[in-house]
Amino acid sequence: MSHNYQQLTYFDVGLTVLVGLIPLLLSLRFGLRLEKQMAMAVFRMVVQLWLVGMVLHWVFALQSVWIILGCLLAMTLIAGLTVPTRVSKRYPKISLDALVSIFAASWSAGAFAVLMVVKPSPWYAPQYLIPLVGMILGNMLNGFTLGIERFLSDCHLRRDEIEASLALGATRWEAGSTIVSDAIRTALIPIINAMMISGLVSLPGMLTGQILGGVSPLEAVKYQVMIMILIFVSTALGSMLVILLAFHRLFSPSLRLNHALLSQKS
Amino acid sequence: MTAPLLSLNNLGREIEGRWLFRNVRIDIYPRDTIAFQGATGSGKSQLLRVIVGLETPSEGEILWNNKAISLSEIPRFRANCLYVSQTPGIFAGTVWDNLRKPYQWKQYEAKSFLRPTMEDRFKQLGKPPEFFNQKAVNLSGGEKQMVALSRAIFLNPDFLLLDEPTSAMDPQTALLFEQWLLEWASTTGSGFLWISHSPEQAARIAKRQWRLEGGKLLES
Repeated sequence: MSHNYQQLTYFDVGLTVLVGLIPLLLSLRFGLRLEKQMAMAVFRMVVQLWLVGMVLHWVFALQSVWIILGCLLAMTLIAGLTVPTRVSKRYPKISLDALVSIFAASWSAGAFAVLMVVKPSPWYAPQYLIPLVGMILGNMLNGFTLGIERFLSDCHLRRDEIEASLALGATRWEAGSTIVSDAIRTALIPIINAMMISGLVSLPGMLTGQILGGVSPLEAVKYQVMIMILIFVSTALGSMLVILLAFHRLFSPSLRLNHALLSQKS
Repeated sequence: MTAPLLSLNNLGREIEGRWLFRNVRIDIYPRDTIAFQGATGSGKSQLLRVIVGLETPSEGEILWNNKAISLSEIPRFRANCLYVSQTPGIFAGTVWDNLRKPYQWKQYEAKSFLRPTMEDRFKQLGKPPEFFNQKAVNLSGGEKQMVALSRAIFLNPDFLLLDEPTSAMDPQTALLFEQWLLEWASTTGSGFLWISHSPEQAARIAKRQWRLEGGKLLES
């Protein structure tokens, strides 16, 4: 921690939470009927962050490789299992495919970051490994979900087009490649946009965090560039992998679109 | 005697505990012209989809030139016994893009895209050259059927399996397509199976008449 880091007291945080009551009062005044949701959102955010803070404090103190890897595994599991709940169409093994793809993409990016770039000692130093993998997971999830959602809804909405191709003698790749590439393009739009406007509209999270922590902006930029590239690569690899896995489940080797496997989100 | 092109051997399809058709046992010969009738929901479309493998048969098998169709042969089989569905599969892009698309696939790499022949044919069907540059997605239902059916005939398969291919066309255009199809079948020695709800059309186009009733395929 740098010498010019300004620590917050519990009183400071309490004061901010009190300011958080202003929208709640406005909701009451204008009859928005959002008071319950607002209060619940603020309450959940405070409790969840405090719990995470305590868990991280404990993990950082223990410095156990197994506990750190266990934390990463839990984060990956939650990310993987969230995907099926956020898409409008599903197929039976979507949770498994999402989990495998998110795991492969985020852990390989995280491993590259700690083993080849940051090189902390020990390699599993939690203050590097956990935030890096956490940022990769949190940021890749948006594009990843958009990509698989687009693929599955196109398999439903463009069924006539797909089946016409298959009936005309197309291979399954000839019949499905346009839908696959459309879905991958959709998955990559958020991260491409984020990179395009990076630093122009708002300062990215890691850069802001490090600057607030007292690191010089030029040093903070180095970390930000690394994390943006890792998010970009893991979004691309993860979404390509999950879309290709879904493609192989829905386009059978007998060149049939298994439309019956697709079900509406209940 | 000519060998059958397709043999349906005890074909059956069950959906949610109900047999749409069962024990369908019939041969299709290369130059056959077959009209296929039956009430709505009787399973005619399902039978065509099962023949081309877009649906799995619940029982029975399909033989092509007296042999079962292996996985690697499926694209060649489908290019030879070509199915056109009632809801035409239209691709993104113009009418040209739609007609040209199959020629980009492995199955048709030896075939050439004959633009002048297509222009002549569409002129006879009452469509000016500008029609080809229209966005296919904006076409009417009948025009989409025109594109899908023409695309199939231009690909010149051995046999066409047609599911109400003219149902959204005006009677005059439908008649022009009937004539084109009969002319194509006689000049190339090909055949077709045509699902139609019109007894008059069935009588005009086909020598064999099939009917699906109560899950049984009857020939008259």
